[in-house]
Amino acid sequence: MDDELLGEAEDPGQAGGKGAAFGAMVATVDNVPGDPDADRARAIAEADENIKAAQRKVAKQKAHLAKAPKGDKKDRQAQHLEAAELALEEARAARERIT
Amino acid sequence: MAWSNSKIFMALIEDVLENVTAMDLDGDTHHAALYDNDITPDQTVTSANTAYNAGQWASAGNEVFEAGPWPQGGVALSGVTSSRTSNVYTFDASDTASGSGADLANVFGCLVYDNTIASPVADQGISFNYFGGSNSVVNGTFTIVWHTNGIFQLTL
Repeated sequence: MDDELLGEAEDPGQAGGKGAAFGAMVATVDNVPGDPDADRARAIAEADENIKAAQRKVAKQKAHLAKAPKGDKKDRQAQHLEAAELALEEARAARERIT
Repeated sequence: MAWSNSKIFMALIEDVLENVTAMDLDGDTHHAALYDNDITPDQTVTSANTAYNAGQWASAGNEVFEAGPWPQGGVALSGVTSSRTSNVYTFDASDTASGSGADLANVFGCLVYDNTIASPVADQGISFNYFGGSNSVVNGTFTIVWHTNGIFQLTL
């Protein structure tokens, strides 16, 4: 999907649309001395946020599973919950690796 | 081949619409990992090959990072928004900055990926975003200034 139209709505009622990812600019400032304490604090904040996101995901997947009908869809939701729980374990392990 | 544009991964759209993955753009955490020009990003690759450290996005020899200010695996996006106005959906974030004292060279673009998703494809890619050429910083700060229209947009 890019800047080009995927399907133009030339006729009334015809579905159309486009999607684009955008290029980004970069801003740089040289000669700003490093701050290991700030880097560590940021790493911890990111790890904590990852844990929170994973916890939210587990809760959401539990809710989805509870509402899922039987059969393949319920199986799929159960797999999503399992993956979310795995992600939570990994997020907690990543946090513990930060010294 | 090399970087030439910015794209949304087709696998993202298909996998989300088909409930193959539980990627959650406004709930999960997402990272931006930096890459040099040795790679040729491709929006049509399989789900597995959109992921961080897979396919073109292999870290070894391609990823640009520095432990501390811009660690391997990238920097987390903050201020993520996933919203729509009328018929336009936009995924965006605050500008993504390194820590101070960064030494990064030959940076051409970034992979934006879901850092929360663990299965069926861990760290599945969302989009890749080109910086228009080579960028570098010496002992300073490196900031991705996302486009005024966001990281990606869908107009339906």
